[in-house]
Amino acid sequence: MADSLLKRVANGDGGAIKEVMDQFGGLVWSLARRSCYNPADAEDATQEIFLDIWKSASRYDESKGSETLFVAMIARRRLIDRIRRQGREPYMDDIDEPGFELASNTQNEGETFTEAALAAKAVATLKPAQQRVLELGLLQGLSHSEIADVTGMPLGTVKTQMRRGLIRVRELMQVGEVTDLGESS
Amino acid sequence: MAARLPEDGRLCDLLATRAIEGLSPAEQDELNDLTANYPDLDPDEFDRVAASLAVSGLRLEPMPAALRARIEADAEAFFGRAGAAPPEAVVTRFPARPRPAAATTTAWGGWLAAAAALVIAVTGWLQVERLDSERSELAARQAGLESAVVRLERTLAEKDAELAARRDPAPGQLLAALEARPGTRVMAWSATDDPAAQGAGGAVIWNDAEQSGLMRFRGLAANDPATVQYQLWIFDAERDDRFPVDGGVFDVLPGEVETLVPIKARLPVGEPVLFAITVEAAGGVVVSSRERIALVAQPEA
Repeated sequence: MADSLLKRVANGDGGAIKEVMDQFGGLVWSLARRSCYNPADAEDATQEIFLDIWKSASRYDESKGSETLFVAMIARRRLIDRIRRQGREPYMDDIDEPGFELASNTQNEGETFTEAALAAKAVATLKPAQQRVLELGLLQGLSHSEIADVTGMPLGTVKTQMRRGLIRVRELMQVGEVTDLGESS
Repeated sequence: MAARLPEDGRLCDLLATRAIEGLSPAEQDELNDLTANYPDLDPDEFDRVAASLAVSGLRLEPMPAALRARIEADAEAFFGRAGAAPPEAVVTRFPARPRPAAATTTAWGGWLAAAAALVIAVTGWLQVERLDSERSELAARQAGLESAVVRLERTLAEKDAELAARRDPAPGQLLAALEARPGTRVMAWSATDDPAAQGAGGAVIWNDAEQSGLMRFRGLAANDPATVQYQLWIFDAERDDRFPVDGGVFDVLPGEVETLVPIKARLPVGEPVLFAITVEAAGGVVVSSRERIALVAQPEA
């Protein structure tokens, strides 16, 4: 069985670098753009993220998810770190951007990101309040306290809804229930 | 299938919080303590779920080509050094780049010097005997620092250019503005015997109240900016004539029919009595030897 792309990177396969850039460049850049104030900041973040990817490639475990998911997870962690390091408020310009409902159309440069589609379908089964806090926290990048301000929920409720929502989404994705929730492709 | 999460509310809370907005150092310590109780726990599960949701609905944009090139260079540096590359060689991998030459660059010079010093400090640190793995990690960090310095220089140069463009109108706009203002004087250039000025003419346009002006040339010889540049001096009746006001250096490019050069007086000019163009070494001088005076212009009495 052929090695995964990230394994090839970890093994020092120079050709794999360009393939990683082809496959995940747009994904990382788009996540950075959504999180950062300006393009220059997003460029710095993207460079940091890819350095992390090179360093972490050997830790990729395909039994735990796709390479796209692994890359997205590293990207999010780095972006969260940057926000905390800069001590700034999350970027909120896209507060009215569409939410999880676009997930079924999410493409990763030709590859359908299955986990994203499943996650979105799982979110659709949650209570509206949980959907809302997850959307604000994960798509818009708001902190718990900011979500409390936006929604009018008490902070404790936000945290509870967020935690329960994430736990529920995780459960649904793992037991495969969401594949029966209208999976059409 | 992954194992069920333990019935530990605080653990779940911390994992969820980390996935959403990260943890403080104290919270991370607490999470580390809690996860130690559950050796089978996959602590990344929430992060993967959060990443799945964060990607859903993401509108993909293509990465800028220049950024991709830098990242590929970073990767080359990272993997190139991850082996047995001697740390001493690290600094030479990124060629020296010229400092931005725009007007406000000097204001950033201290910062950049500090950044460069940091790179050098890291290099020195690398020279300390360390395990190979640590050395590779440090080399990668240094690569990141070097890359960041280069990017900052580029960003600063762009910002300098943007600021200069906002502060300094285009010569044509400046000329039109000056001509429209009362008090603007036009003083014709007189050529000297200097070879650069043979057949040269034009005028100085100057407005005392605005402390602003512009030079117009025709026929002034093109200079090689690497060796010599033209420099304007403004003799002020209110100052010692041994120390005229520096009006800035400029170039005349080959093939230019007419050259418009905004005057950048370094000091306020009270009563200009003479404008003189000298030929100086590249970069200009603080005090001119006045060996080569090409053009002069005087207000009419």
